[in-house]
Amino acid sequence: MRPVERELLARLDASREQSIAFFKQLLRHPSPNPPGDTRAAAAFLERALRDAGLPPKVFAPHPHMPNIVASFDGPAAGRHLVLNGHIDVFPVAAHEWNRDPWGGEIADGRIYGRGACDMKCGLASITLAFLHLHAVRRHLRGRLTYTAVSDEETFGPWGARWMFQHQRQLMLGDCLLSGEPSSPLCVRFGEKSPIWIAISVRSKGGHGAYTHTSESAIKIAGAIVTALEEVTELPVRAPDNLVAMFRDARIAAQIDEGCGVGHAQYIGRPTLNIGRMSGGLKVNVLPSACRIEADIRLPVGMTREEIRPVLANIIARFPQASWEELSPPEDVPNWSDPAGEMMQIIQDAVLALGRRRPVPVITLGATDTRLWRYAGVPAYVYGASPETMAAADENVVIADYLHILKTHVLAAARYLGTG
Amino acid sequence: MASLAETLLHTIAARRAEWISLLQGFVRTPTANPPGDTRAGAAYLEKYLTAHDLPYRVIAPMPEMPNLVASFDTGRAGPHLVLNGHIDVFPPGEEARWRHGSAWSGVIDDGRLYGRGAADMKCGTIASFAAYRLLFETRADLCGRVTLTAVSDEETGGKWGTGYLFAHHRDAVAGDCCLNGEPSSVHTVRYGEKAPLWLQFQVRTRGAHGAYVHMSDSANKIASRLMVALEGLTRMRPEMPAAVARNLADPAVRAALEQGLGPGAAELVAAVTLNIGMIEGGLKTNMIPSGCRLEADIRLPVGISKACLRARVQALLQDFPAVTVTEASDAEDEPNWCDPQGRMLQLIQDAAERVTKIRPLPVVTLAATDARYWRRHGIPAYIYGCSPDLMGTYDEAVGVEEFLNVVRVHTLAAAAYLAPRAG
Repeated sequence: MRPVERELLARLDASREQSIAFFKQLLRHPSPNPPGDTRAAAAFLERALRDAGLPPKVFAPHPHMPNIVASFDGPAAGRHLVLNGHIDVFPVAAHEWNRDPWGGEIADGRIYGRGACDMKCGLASITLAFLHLHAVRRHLRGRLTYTAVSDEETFGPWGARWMFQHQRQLMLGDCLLSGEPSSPLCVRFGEKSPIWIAISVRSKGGHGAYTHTSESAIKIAGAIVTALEEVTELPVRAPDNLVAMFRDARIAAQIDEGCGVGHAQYIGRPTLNIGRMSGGLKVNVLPSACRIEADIRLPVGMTREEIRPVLANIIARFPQASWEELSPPEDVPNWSDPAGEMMQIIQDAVLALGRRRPVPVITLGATDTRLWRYAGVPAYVYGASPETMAAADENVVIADYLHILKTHVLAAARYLGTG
Repeated sequence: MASLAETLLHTIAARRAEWISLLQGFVRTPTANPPGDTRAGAAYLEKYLTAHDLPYRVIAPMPEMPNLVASFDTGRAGPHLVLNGHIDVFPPGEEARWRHGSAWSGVIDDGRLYGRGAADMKCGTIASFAAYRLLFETRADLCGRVTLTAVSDEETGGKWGTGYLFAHHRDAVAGDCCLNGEPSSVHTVRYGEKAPLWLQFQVRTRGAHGAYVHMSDSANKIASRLMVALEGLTRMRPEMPAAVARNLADPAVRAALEQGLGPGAAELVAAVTLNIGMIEGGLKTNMIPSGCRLEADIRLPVGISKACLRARVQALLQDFPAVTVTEASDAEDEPNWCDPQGRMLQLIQDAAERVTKIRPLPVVTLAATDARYWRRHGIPAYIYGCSPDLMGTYDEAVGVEEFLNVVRVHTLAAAAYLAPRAG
């Protein structure tokens, strides 16, 4: 370990309580999306940067959804590493929570709150990593850029997508490191791609007791939900250099240990989630309308061009139904080199910190890292366990958070200290 | 000398424009339930009663849901007839889907008057108000007593409407017989009805990110499977009382049911039906939903008790550990009926045959009405009204002539019921 790395770890050990307090404060600034107003949490991050002498640039093409960028250079020329996180989090069904979703409560070695794992753990970590690396910048080469964006949870137009369209040079760099959830046992190098559709069913409607007078939009919607399961059975042809490793029982077991039992088997298969279902006016009215929103995830090896006609054929069996695509049209499953330099740096850093060597994984969820991969920039993700992501009582093990912070700091320092 | 019936028919014809405009104004007054604020509709009817010096009282246990009760006594001994109608109507849905741009247009187009509630049941309620006034004007020729009740909160169960009146003003509203103008079609008179069992199902799962389908069951998928399982209830078969079974086996009655309520209606009278009125699940496309609510409207035929159906639902839920159920309908409601050959039923048939040339046949019907409160208390209650074809749809309407015929039949049947009897 180089002296600068030892100095950084010493700084992190000395500031352990401040690191936890920073994460807790970030959780206490609600940023659910929808509606997606992240101003309070963004202001908190901006203040932290400014206090460290790193006033950020703020881009807010949507006034409620600011994006923050800050950068510094080391004394010598070198490579450009970009850190990325998102500020917005999933919405909350408050009655399902036993903890305050915006309280940052700490209990039994865990910290609770909406976004704890997706991804305020990773966001707090890259923010603090950026500040610590800035403090030792005299030992680094090249450039480090910090990006914290809004509007990720809905893959909306006002976050990273806008930044790539309008501030592309600020975003690109030579390599991306993201703190999205991956589990400390895995490093994400690729991801499946979502296709989101909305299906509207219309029927005549009528009185609820007169079931002979009209079809029911809700019952038809129920039948469509069942029929859509067919997409999960579609055959997939994936490039072997990407997916062979997931057939290795040891790797699959470590992925399941980190990301939940079943994760490994879904890497290569399409999945179907019925995110929303909404229909009817009143218990005793035969419903004349029902809407379904489906979230289908395509594995590496499957394209939207392939799935669209399949969806069209299924939905065409229900003449009362029409559908539209909700997701941004350009997305495809994407990946970086599973044996790339940053992958190895992260794996080695984790080993050096005394934990098990993480395995490469393609993940089920999509992140903004896809935008870097589309641009040819290798992008890797190391972050919290996804175990409680989007669920009630979302939480992260505090020791994991501190470990992830150390990993981000070490990995960035090594990337900028070499080459 | 003209008979009382001829005099009444003449008066109704002479005031034709007035009745139409009375109905039109009522349809133009929004009274959707939910939300159930019917004050404007009640005020509209009060204005009519006041204009014709017909005393009434307002009984409003819920201030936004007033009930009107008017009554007069002829001073001669005789039966007490109660006319009953409701002020509230179904919600309008999307205004843009209405053919005249609004659910409350009251537009008369091609002989039909359009608007939410035109059929269910502003036509029938206005028929009761017209009949009440005509009976009052001819009270010298009648015996007994007439009470007019216009209630709110019919569409959502009646707790603050007829149910409240029976609980707190029973002597004023029970009477000896009830006549109600809910939609029935010209082909049928309703003497009984199925009972609604409204169940709210709540599915709860852990929830997760939408891509992580291995992390949680989906509340929406469970709800979809539950719908399929509930459909099995529609295969239950009732054990009917003999009088009802005989009536429903009559081919003429079955034909009338089909003609009045549409093809398939005769089967459904004796069957359990299932409507999934509402489903609401999930927060966001890319989250596995942790909650889904399903509201089911199950209709029980005469011959299947609620206890029996509840037991079936409980048994079926054994396969759905993530689901809980609560009952939203009035627990006291059971499928109900009165005499399919009662006196008022025959008087309605006679009046209808005279007015429309069609003799309506006695039937048990699919939908619940406030008539059940009278039947529950052993008081015969009969329903005769317009066609139910369009009720609840975006084209809800009532034929103008059809409406005037309902006014005629109610008035003549009521007058005959209250006529002094020979000997």
